[in-house]
Amino acid sequence: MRKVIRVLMIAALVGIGNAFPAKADTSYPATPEAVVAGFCEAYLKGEGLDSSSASEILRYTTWAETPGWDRAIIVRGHNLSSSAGDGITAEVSVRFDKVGIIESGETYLLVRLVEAPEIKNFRLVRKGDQWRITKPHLEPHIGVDTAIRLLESEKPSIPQAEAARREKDISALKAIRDRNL
Amino acid sequence: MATLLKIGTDMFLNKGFEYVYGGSGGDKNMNGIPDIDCSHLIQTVLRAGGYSIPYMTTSELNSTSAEKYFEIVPLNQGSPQQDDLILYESHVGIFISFSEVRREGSFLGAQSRGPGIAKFDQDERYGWGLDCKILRPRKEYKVVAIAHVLMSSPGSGSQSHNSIKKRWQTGQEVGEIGCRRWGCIRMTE
Repeated sequence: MRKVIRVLMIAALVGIGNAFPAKADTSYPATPEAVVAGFCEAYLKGEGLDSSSASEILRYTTWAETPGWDRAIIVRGHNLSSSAGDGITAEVSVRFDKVGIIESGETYLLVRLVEAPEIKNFRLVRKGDQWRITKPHLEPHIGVDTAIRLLESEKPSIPQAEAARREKDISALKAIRDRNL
Repeated sequence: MATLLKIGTDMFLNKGFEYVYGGSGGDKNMNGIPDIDCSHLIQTVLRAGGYSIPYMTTSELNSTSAEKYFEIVPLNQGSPQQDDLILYESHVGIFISFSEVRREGSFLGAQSRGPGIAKFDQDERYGWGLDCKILRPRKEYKVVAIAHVLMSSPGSGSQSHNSIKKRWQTGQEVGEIGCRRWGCIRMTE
């Protein structure tokens, strides 16, 4: 009987605990601009390039999944260029300084260096007390350091003929990075 | 005759794969879990379906060079089949279904959490809309008729893996797709 009472008391305490809502996520950015900045920063660092880091991207979006990307854009950086909204929806424009594209070839990564600015318009909606990105389904815009890391990590497994080209790609990216410092 | 959808489902759905950028069925990040990205999933399924079509990235699938291997069919209910691919600017999957009334459909593809079934609709509630292409592999590139795909479970030492290998060695099955770290795929006629 005592055991039963004890179990009932614990259950009641757990019930009372659950009746209070969890604290709001104070680490989540408060404005549409900050949400887009967080999203872009996460991509820049290389989040979202595998299943284990997908949640770092999806925390800012309304979608539950992104594609299993086979292409990423290499960027030197980005700037929030404009924003507008009505309290329920918002639009934030970002200018990316694109320096190239990195694609997953059949057996190894392929790099194309093409320097050009790229403007993307993000649409956001308010979901509860958080702003979330609804469009576009933007492919990863990764930083130059992240691209170098991807290429370096692949070096031991690529054919010798490809290795020279890979070295050239890495050197070119390092030059772009150093020019930026 | 197994469709590409059936082959893709048998090979990848709930088979313990994860997504890694550039993953092609091996274990790129060395965490013991096989990985695959969207275009490599398609290539593996096309090959397992008996098509001799070279690997193409989603960019290449979106270019005119893909028309050599695929015809473009409209996205109307009843028009795409389960041997068709659904292509977005930066994603590709295997078409499953589309309802013109509800203006929504589904496909099998490698998404951020690994291979799975994704939905698309006109409001892009799931991230994918109706602004897509439906690609049908051209019949002339189908070089092997496939009835079944056999695949061992991950882990080369497993019993099923060993028994499949043994049957291959004795010539009971034909048509090799490949042996990878996570297992082997071979087809029967």
